Amino acid sequence: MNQQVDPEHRQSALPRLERAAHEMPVLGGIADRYRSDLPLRNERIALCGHITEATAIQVRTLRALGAEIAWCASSTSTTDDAVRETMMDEVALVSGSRGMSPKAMQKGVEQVLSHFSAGPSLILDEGARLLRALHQNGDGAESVKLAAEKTPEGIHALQSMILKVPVLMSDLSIGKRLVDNPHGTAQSLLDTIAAVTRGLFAGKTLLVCGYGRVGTGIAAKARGLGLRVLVAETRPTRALIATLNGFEVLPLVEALQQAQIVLTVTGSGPVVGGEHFALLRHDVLLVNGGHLPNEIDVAALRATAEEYPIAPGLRGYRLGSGKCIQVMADGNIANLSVGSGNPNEVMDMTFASQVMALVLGRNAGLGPGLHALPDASEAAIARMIAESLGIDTAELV
Amino acid sequence: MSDELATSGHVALARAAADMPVLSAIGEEFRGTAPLAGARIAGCLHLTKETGVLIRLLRNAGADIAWTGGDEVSTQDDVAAALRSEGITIFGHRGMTTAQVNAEIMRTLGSHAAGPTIIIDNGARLIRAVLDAPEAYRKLRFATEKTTEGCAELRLRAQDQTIPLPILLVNDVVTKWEVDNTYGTGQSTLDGILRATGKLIAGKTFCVCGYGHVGRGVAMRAAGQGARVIICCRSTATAIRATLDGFQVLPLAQAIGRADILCTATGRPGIVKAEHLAAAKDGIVLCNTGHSVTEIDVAALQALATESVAETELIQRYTLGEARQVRLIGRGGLVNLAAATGNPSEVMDVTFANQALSVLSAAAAVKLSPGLHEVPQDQDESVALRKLTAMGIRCDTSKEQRRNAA
Repeated sequence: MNQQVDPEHRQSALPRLERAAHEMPVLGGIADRYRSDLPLRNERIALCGHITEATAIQVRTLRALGAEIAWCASSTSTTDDAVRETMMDEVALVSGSRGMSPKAMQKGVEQVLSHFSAGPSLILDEGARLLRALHQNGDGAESVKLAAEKTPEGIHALQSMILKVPVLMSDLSIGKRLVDNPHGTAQSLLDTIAAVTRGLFAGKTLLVCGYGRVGTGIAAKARGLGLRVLVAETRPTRALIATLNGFEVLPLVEALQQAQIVLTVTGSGPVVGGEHFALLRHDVLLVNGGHLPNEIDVAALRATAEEYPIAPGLRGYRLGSGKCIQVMADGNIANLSVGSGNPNEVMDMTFASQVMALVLGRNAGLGPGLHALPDASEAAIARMIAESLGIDTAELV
Repeated sequence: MSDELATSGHVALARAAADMPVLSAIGEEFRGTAPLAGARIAGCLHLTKETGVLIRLLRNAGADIAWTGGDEVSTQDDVAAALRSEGITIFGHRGMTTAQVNAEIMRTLGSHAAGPTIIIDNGARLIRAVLDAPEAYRKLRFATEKTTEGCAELRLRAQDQTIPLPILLVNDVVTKWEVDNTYGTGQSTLDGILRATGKLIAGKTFCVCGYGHVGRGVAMRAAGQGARVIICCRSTATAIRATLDGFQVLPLAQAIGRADILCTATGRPGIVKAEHLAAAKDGIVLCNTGHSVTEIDVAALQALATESVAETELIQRYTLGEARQVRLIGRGGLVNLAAATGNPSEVMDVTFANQALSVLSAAAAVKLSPGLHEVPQDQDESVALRKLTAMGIRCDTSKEQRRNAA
């Protein structure tokens, strides 16, 4: 891939990465603990992930443990170009740029898989992009000892495949479940909406589509900000919990008629589409917080409405009726695409789980298929997370 | 006297049934048939008016029933009298010693001459006796267990011993551990503390030991009423969760010196020990909403006290040392059952709907393999949808979900 490297800007992200490292003490602790043992010496890691400050610190940690890395973007819209340029000094391959085409992104996936002449020995995946390509290629899986996938969408895709390698479901890590989803993603999505729209939250009506780990966090925080929160959910158990938490649960088509902000966080496919647009309120804001850009059918909107720019990260669509619909980040995951993403201190915990799982799980002799994270690594990570939060774990009884 | 009691019990049962639409609807579904005909049930589960509604449903399904509450303080004597007047065998009364509770449990287990065919358990009290002497209970087809602690114990036993009968773990479902534990017990615990003490919660330092489903519910509600909440727990993951929910996490030895109210909700024995009591803040109110009476070491409290006074029927005041006062609600038993009326009927509706559906489907099964069985996810979703519908809440559901709940 032809990546433009501007020497003057090449190291422009260094001060930001320094700050990020400071905000990521769990990864820092792992690096310190294993720096002299080099447990990942001779490991060749193929990594697919957002090219951000936080992933850069994960990459540096893996390198400090002795690994070689080839890294490609997991999304077309989230690359921090300055981080990519800075990291090109540190790893042999970083592929991805903000606004790249899906085709270019896929090319990056192939480049990463073919980067090591002996093939990758470990895979850190996001959205199962590397693992899908690896399995479609027919060969090349022999070199892989262990892989990890960190999104529910990716795990869902892997469940329907006949896997040739062991894959750790790092989506279920303690950091993701307890911190990243309910607090990190929830906070950063609301933060992104405030930053991009510069609107007032108090008194507005927010519809949260999906009351899973992320949606639960969003609803709770949104209430604290003075929003009136509606919830649309298809699982009765989750709808019941939302109700008992005091939120108004409604069928989607009814809730859409009331909402001023619609936030989709189902992680499971199309939510707002064709027949819904006519129901929406004038000037409604549609935001997707799910990993894949398929929760809001922006293509359908584009096909029927006149598009106009509103602000960076925000586009308007005028329907024939004169009604206007605002869409953030073209329906891509908003906090990573037009906001500053999850706080680094949150990604610290998520990424640390993966690194620790690779260190402790790579020689565990796991068979092909999906596996939970090793208990030992999760327990170690829980202690490190607690300590980073200032909890004295020695005193817990 | 017993007529009066029974009359009061009938009124309580009718009121509970009205607040339990999901369970009542399940009863309506088999009306006119007897899906549990020939079944002999031994039950051990807090004998409240809501349990009474479940017992009646099982009786209406054709089962022959022997039941005990299995708890020192939670039995509602009027409900027991009402059920007895309907010919149902009920053992025990409110205000038993632990030895009496255990004796009534064994009487319940031995009540059916031919032995029970179904056990409905709470805390594995009956199941433990069966596992210790399985050859004596050959007619037993299956058992159900509905507490976190009981399920944990059975899982542990299953690791190094063969479980000779099918046991349904009716606990690890969203509709139980979130709805019942977090919202039901969370509310009724605060209710019990308020009824027993009449204290203002706002501005108090409120310590919760344990931050599981129950502890989280108590903490959320105490914070909502304006208390400053401190959490004591042993699991690192739990400590992280509590911290990120905005609560201070401290070791019990420190927290007890700051707490105006301390509530245990761990499900484990021996949490508040002598060394903690010695450090307790003057004027502290102690109570327990965990599984049993053993979370607070009451014997140690009595041993430390220079004076012990029953302030009210519910509150025992102990003086430690010169002048430090410690108040204990309900002798360390379950505060929501001892000082309030337990979980709201509307909550137990969901818990017992799961229980009833589990018993009915297991009884209908041709063969159940020995060992531990989880509640199927679709039963959980079905109960949740029935409850939402009863509450007048509509949500988007698949055709399949609606069919399951129909």
